[in-house]
Amino acid sequence: MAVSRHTRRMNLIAHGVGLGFALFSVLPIVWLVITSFKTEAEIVTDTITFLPQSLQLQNYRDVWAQSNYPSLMWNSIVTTFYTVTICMVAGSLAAYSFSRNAFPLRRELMLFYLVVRMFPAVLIIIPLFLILRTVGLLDTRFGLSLAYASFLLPLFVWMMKGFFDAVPPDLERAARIDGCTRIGAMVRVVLPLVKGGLGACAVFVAIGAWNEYLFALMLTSSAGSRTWPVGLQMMVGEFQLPWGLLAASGVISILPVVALFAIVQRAMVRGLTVGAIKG
Amino acid sequence: MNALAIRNIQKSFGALKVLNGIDLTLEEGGFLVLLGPSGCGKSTLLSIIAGLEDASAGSIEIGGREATGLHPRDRDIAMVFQSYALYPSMQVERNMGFGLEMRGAGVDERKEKVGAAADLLGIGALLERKPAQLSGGQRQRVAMGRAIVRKPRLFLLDEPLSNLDAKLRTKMRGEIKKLHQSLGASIVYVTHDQVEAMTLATKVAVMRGGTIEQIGAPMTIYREPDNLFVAGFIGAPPMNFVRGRIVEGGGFAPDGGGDRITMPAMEHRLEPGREIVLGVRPENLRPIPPGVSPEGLLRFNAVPDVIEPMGADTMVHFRVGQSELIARLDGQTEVSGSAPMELGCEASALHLFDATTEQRLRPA
Repeated sequence: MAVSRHTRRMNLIAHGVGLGFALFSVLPIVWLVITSFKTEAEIVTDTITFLPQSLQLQNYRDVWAQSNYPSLMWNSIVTTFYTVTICMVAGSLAAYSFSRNAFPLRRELMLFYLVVRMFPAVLIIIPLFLILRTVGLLDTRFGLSLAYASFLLPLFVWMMKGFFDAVPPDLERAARIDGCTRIGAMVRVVLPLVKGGLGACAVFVAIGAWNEYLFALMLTSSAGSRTWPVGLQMMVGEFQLPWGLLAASGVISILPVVALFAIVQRAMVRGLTVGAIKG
Repeated sequence: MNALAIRNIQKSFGALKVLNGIDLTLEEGGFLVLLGPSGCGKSTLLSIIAGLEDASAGSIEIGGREATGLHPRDRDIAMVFQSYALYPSMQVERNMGFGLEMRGAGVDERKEKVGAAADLLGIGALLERKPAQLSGGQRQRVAMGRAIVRKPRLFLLDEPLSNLDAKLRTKMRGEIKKLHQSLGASIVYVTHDQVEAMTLATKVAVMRGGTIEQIGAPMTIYREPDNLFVAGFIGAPPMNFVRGRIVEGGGFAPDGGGDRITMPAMEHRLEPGREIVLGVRPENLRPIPPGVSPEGLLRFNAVPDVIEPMGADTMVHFRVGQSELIARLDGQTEVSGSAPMELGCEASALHLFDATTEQRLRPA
């Protein structure tokens, strides 16, 4: 009896702490959503009102019609697409090779991939800036995607290697006897088995590329390649802070991320832990 | 023509030598079992035959055609894996027809051939299922079906029964034998289970440490093992060994003391003082009734340590010198507690090995 009361109390505390953290994380987003439906007068006021008096969509209309927000979104979509494609093609092949082939310095190379992520992003922006300028890819969406791949690809390879490791090598051996080449066995037999993980890793990379701000700020300068996080920041004028517009664009920008995350969250958690729980 | 001819196959992983010059042949329609303990190189040899691994040296011919360096696809082989290696994302029908699909066979041809193989194996009702929906025995059948559907020149089976429970293993063993007889296929089969080797093979290659210790018909290997390792590996329970030396007058003194054993007259020329190992199979020992003194028998005075009645047989454990021996007696034999008994073995069933080289001693 005493044990069960103790357990109940611990459960209560655990749930309380969990709920506290959830509120701490979610409240700013809730506030952002509420603000996006308010008028300017309701936002800039002496007395804070939690809910808007009427649900009005003016901020959304203004963002779409009166700012260059659609082109920012389009640039973000294209950049994210390029980044995900680069990671999926190069990353899958790299991860598969790390998982299956025993070549010299394999372990060291995998660790080196992590070392790349240990440096602060600011440190590699200047070399990247110089490289992209030299090859003529500065201020292009593809150049920005390559820059994103420099820090998202290692993570993708690490995660995908875990998924590939979980696939029994006998399947590829059987496929090779059945007539597949090595790549054919990977594409026809292995990839269908890790498609959940591949999707999760792709979403992980997509979210990283979609939300990125610092590289986009430094490596793009024209409206033709600027992404939404930079564009959003540029809406902040010297004498004006359009809270309603910022909130509405913020909501639109996080919608794809929320949707993607909701779809793949289970596979994603499995992808992050697959190496940890294996064998 | 040989279904398989292997010449001087060697394989090293860095400094580690896994195969040290393997030579063997398998005649058309034969059933070769590669038998040996874990790590003896038998699965590596199978992978090299399949083309999944490259040999460091040597050559392979399959069906009279040079196959060294060929892609697995071009060797005209099929393989059944220990794990079955069924493609989890495909239904049984596609699993079985995948090899045909990869070789450009049309849908109708695939359907027909898969259907025929499925009928042969009694898995026609499972074609729509995914591997995860099958039992162990059904998976094993599908794996066999995938192999036979292409009618390859050579079948390679890598411990295909080791994941099944004892009852199912016995059943599937019989089915593989039947399948071999009905298809007339040439098969190379890897196992560490000597019962599978004895029951299935037309030829057994016993391997140890990357070399073939002995190759031949199963009963030849059982009756005349070339060395101590083969003698101990084939047979269940394994052959009994007693180390000792020949003494004056043709007797045998076991190491570690104990009664001197009277040796029957044998054709071997064994000089006194020579160290040998006596080998006796448990099933070749039989009780000698008290007061009877038959000629031509090797006799042990046994005090049973453990008696294991198993129904058809009774296992009697006893000691001779330092060695522990087992006798497999008829289940009807009365064996009581620790009462001493005399056990005998025909001279023809006795195996003699040199204690140093561990090689079989043959009559002079």
